[in-house]
Amino acid sequence: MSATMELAPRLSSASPMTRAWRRFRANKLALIGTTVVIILVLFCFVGPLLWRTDQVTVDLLNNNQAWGTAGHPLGTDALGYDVLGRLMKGGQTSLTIGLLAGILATFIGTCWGAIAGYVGGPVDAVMMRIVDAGIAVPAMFLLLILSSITRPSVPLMVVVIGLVSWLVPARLIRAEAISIKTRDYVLALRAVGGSHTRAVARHIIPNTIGTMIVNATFQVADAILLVAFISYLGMGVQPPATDWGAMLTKGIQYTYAGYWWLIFPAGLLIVITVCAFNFVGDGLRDMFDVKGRAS
Amino acid sequence: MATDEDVHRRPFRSSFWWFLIKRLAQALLVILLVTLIVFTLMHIAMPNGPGAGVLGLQATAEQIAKFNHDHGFDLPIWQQYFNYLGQILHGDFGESFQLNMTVGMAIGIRLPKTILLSVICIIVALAIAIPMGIFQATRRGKVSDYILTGANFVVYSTPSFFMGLILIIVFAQKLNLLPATAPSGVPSVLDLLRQPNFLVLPVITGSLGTIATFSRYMRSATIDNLSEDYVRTARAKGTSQPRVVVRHVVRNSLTPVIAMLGYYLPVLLGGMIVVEQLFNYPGMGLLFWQAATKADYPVLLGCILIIAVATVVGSLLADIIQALLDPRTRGQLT
Amino acid sequence: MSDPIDRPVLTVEHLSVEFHTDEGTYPAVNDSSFAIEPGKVLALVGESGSGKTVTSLAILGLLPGTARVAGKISLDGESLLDAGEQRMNEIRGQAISMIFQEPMTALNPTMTVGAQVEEVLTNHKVCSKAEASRRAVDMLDRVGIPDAARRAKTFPHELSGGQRQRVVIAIALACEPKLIIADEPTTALDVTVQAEILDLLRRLARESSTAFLLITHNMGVVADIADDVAVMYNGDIVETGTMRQVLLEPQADYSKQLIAAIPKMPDAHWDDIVAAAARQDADAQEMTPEVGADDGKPPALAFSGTSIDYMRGGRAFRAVHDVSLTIGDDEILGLVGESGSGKSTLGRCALGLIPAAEGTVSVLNHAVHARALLNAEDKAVRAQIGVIFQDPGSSLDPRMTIAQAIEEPLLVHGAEGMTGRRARQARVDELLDAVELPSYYALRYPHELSGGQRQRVGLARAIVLNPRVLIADEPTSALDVSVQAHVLDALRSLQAKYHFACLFISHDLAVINEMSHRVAVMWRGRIVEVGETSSILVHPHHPYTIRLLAAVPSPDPREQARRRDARRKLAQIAEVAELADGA
Repeated sequence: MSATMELAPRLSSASPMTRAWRRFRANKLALIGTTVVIILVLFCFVGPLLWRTDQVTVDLLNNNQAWGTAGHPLGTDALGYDVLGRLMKGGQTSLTIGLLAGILATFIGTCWGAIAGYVGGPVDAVMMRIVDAGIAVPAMFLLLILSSITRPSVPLMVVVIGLVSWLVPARLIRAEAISIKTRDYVLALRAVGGSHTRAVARHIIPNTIGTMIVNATFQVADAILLVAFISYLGMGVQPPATDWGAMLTKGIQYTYAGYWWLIFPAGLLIVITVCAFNFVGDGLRDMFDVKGRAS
Repeated sequence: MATDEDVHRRPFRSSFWWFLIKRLAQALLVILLVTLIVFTLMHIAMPNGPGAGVLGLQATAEQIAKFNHDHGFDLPIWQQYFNYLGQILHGDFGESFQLNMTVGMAIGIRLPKTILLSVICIIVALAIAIPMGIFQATRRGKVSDYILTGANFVVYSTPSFFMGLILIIVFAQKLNLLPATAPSGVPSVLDLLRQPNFLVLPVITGSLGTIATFSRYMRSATIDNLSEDYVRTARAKGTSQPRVVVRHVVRNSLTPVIAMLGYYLPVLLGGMIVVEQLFNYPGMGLLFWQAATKADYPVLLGCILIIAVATVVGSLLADIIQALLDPRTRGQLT
Repeated sequence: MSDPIDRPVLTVEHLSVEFHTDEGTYPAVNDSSFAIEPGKVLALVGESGSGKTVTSLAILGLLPGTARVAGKISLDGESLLDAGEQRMNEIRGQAISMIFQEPMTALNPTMTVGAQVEEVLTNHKVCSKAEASRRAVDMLDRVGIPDAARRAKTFPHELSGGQRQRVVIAIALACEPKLIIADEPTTALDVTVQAEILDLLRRLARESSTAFLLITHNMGVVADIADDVAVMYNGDIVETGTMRQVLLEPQADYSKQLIAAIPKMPDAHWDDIVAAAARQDADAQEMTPEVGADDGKPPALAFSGTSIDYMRGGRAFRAVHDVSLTIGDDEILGLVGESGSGKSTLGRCALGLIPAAEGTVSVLNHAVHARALLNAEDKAVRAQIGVIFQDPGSSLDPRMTIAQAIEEPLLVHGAEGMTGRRARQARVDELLDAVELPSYYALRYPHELSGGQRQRVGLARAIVLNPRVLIADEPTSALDVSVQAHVLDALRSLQAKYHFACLFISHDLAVINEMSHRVAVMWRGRIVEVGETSSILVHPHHPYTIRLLAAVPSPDPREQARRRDARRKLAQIAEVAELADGA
């Protein structure tokens, strides 16, 4: 072996995945976050199979039952729906919209940012001004206007939240693409006559995967919050569909009556879900060692 | 690496003035794109013109058609866009469907109160977030940093309406310490300032999320700066760690955080909708929410345009301030 | 200062440093001992990872919290490891100060350089605030910053790299410390600037009783200014002795290997060079650079009247002016120059990464174009050119295996006989063997390889298509000297086997000397001198080449003394000429 004197790279005997997993595992919050996300998904999607409740028929005879009532551990709401069952149903809406919108936003943002960053020049300038303009129009305002035009369904919410949330990932991926395209391995490919498609598909995109995944996680957290805000303001999905934000709004009028089970379970589930996704995102950022949101 | 000659006077195209001109041109282009977005929204909301909304339910189809014709809403779409541009340049945002006044007037009454609330929120938030971020960065990896980081995550993940609700239940309902809603009627900015009690809960609700966001930025900017070589140079001079932070690091980590302020404006104002709705605070957010529930499109579009333009101008100012604070760009002023 | 010279300022005894990280504990320094006497320069030499910088930070007490330090460090009898943080703050800057490697980042960008010098004075309350700003200007003047009073009010970005390093030195000197630790003080600088900084350090060491701990990997720097040497390898001090002993008659195996690995240069004919300069020999400037060997065959690579513009800050400026140069088949041409000379730009133009503004570049008589979209002909031309870049950290895609990286050009060109997976695999194995890497490396990822191994993979990728021309852009500049020797050996043996032409770009004259048949010297975007390596490095004609050659520190102390002497004489001649011009 000719390079006898050369010191081998220290600490990197393990494979990249092992090392990445080790870094992820070292972040306790990320582990907690992952566990919580799994539990929440089971609660919302598997829970209704085990805890069967009627979430369609209004039952005014049994409305506003206190928590601990037989058959209703968390009571019932003003229309007589079982709150525990309703939390599961509302969670389905929140999680579905959050996950799909987050993924959609990351997908659009990645394509937009990678193209702008790789092509550069005037194309980049115009594409990024469009992003600037989009960022200047606050998502909350835009969503409220759209909700006032047409009452949104779940698929519409996914598309709309996806369409207003891709701007930040686009900026991050663009910055990354600009840095990667000047790396020597991309230059070496271009020098040997490799195509732009190959440069983007084989080098740029694979090397932005870390940023993409980390960002997608944060996007999911933000999308869930955004859904909650819109529903809280009464402009979200319409009954009998519901989500946690809408449940909380409906409960507010009973604040003074002390019906806390109409407010706190829904509110806490929002906090826990968003927090869990943020923890996971934070752990993934350590794992992929990417810059992104300030930590 | 540099050659051992003086760095030459830069040509105009890399001077500060060139930066300013370029940045202004960008901002103008962005504002133009924003008007295009708002104009598109207007057509999605009112594909046949605002006639029906302005005239109300009693109006006949002929009256509506006449109104739309008189106001040019039957012209080709590009002509309508230029008319729209001309109108907003004159400060004309149209008539509210519901309020019996122009959109300009409605916003004019409400906007100062939102500015008041936002400015107080930002000042309070920065006054807490900046020292907190610096503290966390210097205690990085210690228990106090973990606790504050965890608290940050929780606060950041808590929707402001839930936070506000808890505050109302605790401070207004249970302890009866502070009022849960703003003074009734239509109080002026002065009225609000005379009764600061009413502002306490809205300000807390509005600034908590901002504190979480900005202390995170400040923490990471400070950590980045603490690992810079110049910090090691200062330490090697015998400057103590706390003094290095005060004399060298804080200033350099503040600049990127200030630049973030401009981009944070839309987030802050979005949050104000909820805060104002929750506390019945008579600002632009409440106006917007009420307009949204009643499909009062001219008001909605007017508000969104104002906010978008404010955001563009805000980030422009933030970039300029950042450039002025940095001797590397400021040096090219002369 | 009439202290007995044999009482050391600093003694380090049985120093050990370990780092405790999440991924485990690893030792950085083991049981090291050395001492420095007042007014002496001790060079601590070693390659990266040998523990020399950790040692210096341990002396200053600036190691991160993950470090565990054992042993004894004493400064004039005071134990530094037992001094508290407060006492260390008094010591740092006043009794011990430090010069860092990277002048571009060592200064606070938002503080004037004067204020940064003042800070060290006010920290230690050596004088009043007003006095401090006066003394700061004096210090800047002393380290050779022209117009110091004005420069004190400027910010670091307004100064060049060399001047910034002078400011860092002024900070280190300000309190007249007993010990200055200089950690690779000239590594980030160009060789002519390095020579000036070394002159300054040498003067400062001679005229004061301050002791210097010089940390470096460059034996030429050691030969230039060190009195004593300690050689470090993998955390251990393997040899200590006087500079001449260690450089001329190394004892430890590692020192022998290290010194043997340093690229050598022929002894230049300094007397002739100085004499020619004194005669105001003008023929050098008039001489048209010899373009290339004319043997009737088409040159492998030819630049003809090539000028290249570069965009910076939205403005084009000319980086390369009217270069004409040919490289014959089977020839290695060394292109040497300092940073900003345009040598890498020229290399990138040959690769078709940057367009030529004027003139042409051709490979085997086919023009190289830098189009955004390449046609079939362009691709065919590019298959004839291979490339290897400087940075082993970014030369390979971290998400591709070594085999994938090497075979990528084959896939791009769908090379004949290489469309099958088996054929490609065989080619990868063959090339790994040619660069002396075991074939099981094919399935590894770049992070599992050391820098030198990655550069050898880079070499394998560069020649996978059997190109007729190889552009090597500082392929070993980021490597340690012993690793560099292996990579250069690999490149030489590949060239002997495949007979490609090679444009070998480097800032290092000694490497150029070992590698190339002919040399072209580039300065400010122009080729100022071209010729046989043996002639140019022994008797250059162009004033810039002479200056460059005199500035390169030689690891041979005798040759280095001659170069230093020649540099002094040349400077005098230049001064006289200037005076004459003035009159």
